[in-house]
Amino acid sequence: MAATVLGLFLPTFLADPYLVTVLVRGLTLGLAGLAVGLLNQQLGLVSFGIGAFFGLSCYAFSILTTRFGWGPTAAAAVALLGVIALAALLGAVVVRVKALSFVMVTLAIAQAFFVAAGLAGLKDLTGGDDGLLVEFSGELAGLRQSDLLDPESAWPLVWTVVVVVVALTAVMVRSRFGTRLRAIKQNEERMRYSGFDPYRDKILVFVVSAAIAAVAGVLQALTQGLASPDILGFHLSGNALVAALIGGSATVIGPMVGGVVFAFGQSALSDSGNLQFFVGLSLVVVVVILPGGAVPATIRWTRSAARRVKDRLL
Amino acid sequence: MSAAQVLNGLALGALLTLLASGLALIYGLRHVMNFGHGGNYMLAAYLGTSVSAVAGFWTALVVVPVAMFGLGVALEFAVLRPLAGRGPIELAIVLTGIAWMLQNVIVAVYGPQARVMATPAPLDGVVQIGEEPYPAYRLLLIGFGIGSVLLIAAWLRFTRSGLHVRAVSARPDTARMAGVDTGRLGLLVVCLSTAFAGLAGVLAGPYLAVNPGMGDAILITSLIVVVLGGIGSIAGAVVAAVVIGFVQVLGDLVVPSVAALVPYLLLVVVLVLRPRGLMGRVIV
Repeated sequence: MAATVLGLFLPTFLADPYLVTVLVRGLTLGLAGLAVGLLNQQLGLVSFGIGAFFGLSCYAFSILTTRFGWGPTAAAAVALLGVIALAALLGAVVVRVKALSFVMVTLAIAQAFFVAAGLAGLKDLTGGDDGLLVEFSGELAGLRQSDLLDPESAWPLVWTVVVVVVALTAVMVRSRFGTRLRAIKQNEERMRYSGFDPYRDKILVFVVSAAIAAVAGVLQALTQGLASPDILGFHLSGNALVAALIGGSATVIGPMVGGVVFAFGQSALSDSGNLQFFVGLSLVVVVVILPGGAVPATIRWTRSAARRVKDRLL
Repeated sequence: MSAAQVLNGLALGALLTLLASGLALIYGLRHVMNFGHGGNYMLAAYLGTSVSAVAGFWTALVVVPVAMFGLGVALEFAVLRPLAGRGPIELAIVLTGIAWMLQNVIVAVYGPQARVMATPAPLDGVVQIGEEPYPAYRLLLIGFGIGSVLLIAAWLRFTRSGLHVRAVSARPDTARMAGVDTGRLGLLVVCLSTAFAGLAGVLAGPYLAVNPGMGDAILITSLIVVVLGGIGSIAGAVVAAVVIGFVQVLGDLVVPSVAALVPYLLLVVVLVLRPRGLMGRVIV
C-alpha cells in the first residue's frame, strides 16, 4: 500500500526525466503483457494478437478526438466500451478453438486489423501507413494534452491507472471466478459435467483481457500522441508476449515488471539496430531455459544465493 | 472472371500450396506448427537473389531448395529434437523467436530495402491466353504448384515412407509399435518442408517483392490456409490454398476496397460454421 502511494511521487526521486519516459512506455506495454498473461495463467491460452485490442482502442481514441473533435474523456470511454463489445463478439468464436489454433487465430485477427488500418479507403480516418497524430482540446482528469505528452506531469495518472487495473485483476484472479477459471484450465469437461458453463467464463476472461489491453491502448494514445499500424499487428503483440514471458504470468505483477524490463532493454538496444534479434533471443531463452519467467527465476536465484552466503557466514 | 484472373488466383494459390503443405506435413506427423516457416521462406528468397546474381535464376531454383533441405537437418537436431518434450505452444514461441533473430540477421546482411529479382529468360515475356497477354512467369509458378501437389500425393500414396507418414499421422503409437522409425521420418518431413519453403521463396522472388517483412505476411496467410483446410490435413491445405488464392483475386474484383480483409473474414466464417476446417478430422 505504501509502495503504491510512494509510486505516485516516483518522478521526484528519479534524477533523469528520461527514466520516467521509459517507465511510462514500459508500464503501458506491461498492461498489454498483463492481458496476455491473464489469458495464459487463467485459461492456458497464448495470444499472439493482443495488439488487435490495444491498437483498436488507441485508434478509436485517436480518431474520435482528432477527426471528430470529441473530448478525451468521452473518447476514452467509447474506445473502451467499443473494444469490450467487439471482444465479446470475437471471443464467442475464438475461445472455442483448441490452444494451438488459438495462437494462430489471434495472430490472424491482429493481422486483419493491421491490414484494415492500412486500407486506402480508410486513409482519411486512420492516416494509412503513416499513422495518426493525436490532437485534442479539453482535459482528462485535469490534464491537458500537453501535460499528458510530458511524462513527468502524466505520471500520476499513468501510475493510478496501472495500480487500479493491476489491483482489480488481482482481485479477480483471487475471486471464485478466478478459481473457476483455473478449474476449467485443468479439466474443462469435468467442469461442464459439474454444472458450470466454461464457455461463458472463457468469453468473459477473454473480454477482461481485451479490456486491459484497451486501457493500455488509450494510455498509448494519451502519452505517446500517436496511433501507428505497428501497434495493431504482430509487432506490439510480440512485444507484449515477450513482456509476459519475461515477467512470468504466474503473478499479476510479473508482466508489468516484464514490460518495464523490456522498455529499458529497448531503449538500450534500439540504437544498435539489432533490437529484434534480442527480442527473438529472449523469447527462445525464456521458454527454453527459464519457463515461468526470467524475473521470477532471477528472484529465486538471488534468494538462494543470499541464503548460501548467509549459511557460509553464520 | 477472365482467364487471366483465374490464372492469377492459381498463381497465388500455388505459392500458398507450397508453404501450407509443408506446414501441414510437419503438423500431421509431429504436432508442431512451424511458426518459423515464414522466416525460412524469406531466407530462401534472399539466398535466391544472391545465387541468381552470381549463377542465374535457374541455378538458384535448384541450389537454394537443396540448401534449405540441409537447413531442415539443423532445425531438426538443434531445435525440434531437444525440445521434443515441450508443448506445441512453447515450440511455436521458440520458432517465432528464431524467425525474428533470422529476420534481424537478414536486415543486417542485406539492408532493409526491398530487393528486386529479375524475371528469368525465357519467361520474362508474355504469352497470349485467348485474347489477353499474360505474364509467362506466373505459368511457371502454377506449374510448380500443381507439380508439387502431384509429387506429394504420389509420395504419400505410392512409397513406403509415404505410407509410414500416413500411418504415423493417423496412429502414432500403433505405427511405432509396428516398427516405423518415427525419428527418421520426422527428419525427412522437416527437411522436405524447409525445402518446399526454399522453393517457394525463390519462386516468389520475381513475382512478389523480396523484403524483410515478406515472411510475416505470408506466414499468417499460410496459417489461415492450414486452419481453413483442417489442421494437419494436406489435401485440405491444398484446397484451402487455392480457395484463398481465388478469394483474394475475386475480392479484388468485387470489393476492391476491402479485398485484403477477405481471407480473415473467411477464417471467422469457417470457424463459426465448421470448426474442423474444410477437410479436417479433428476440431481445430
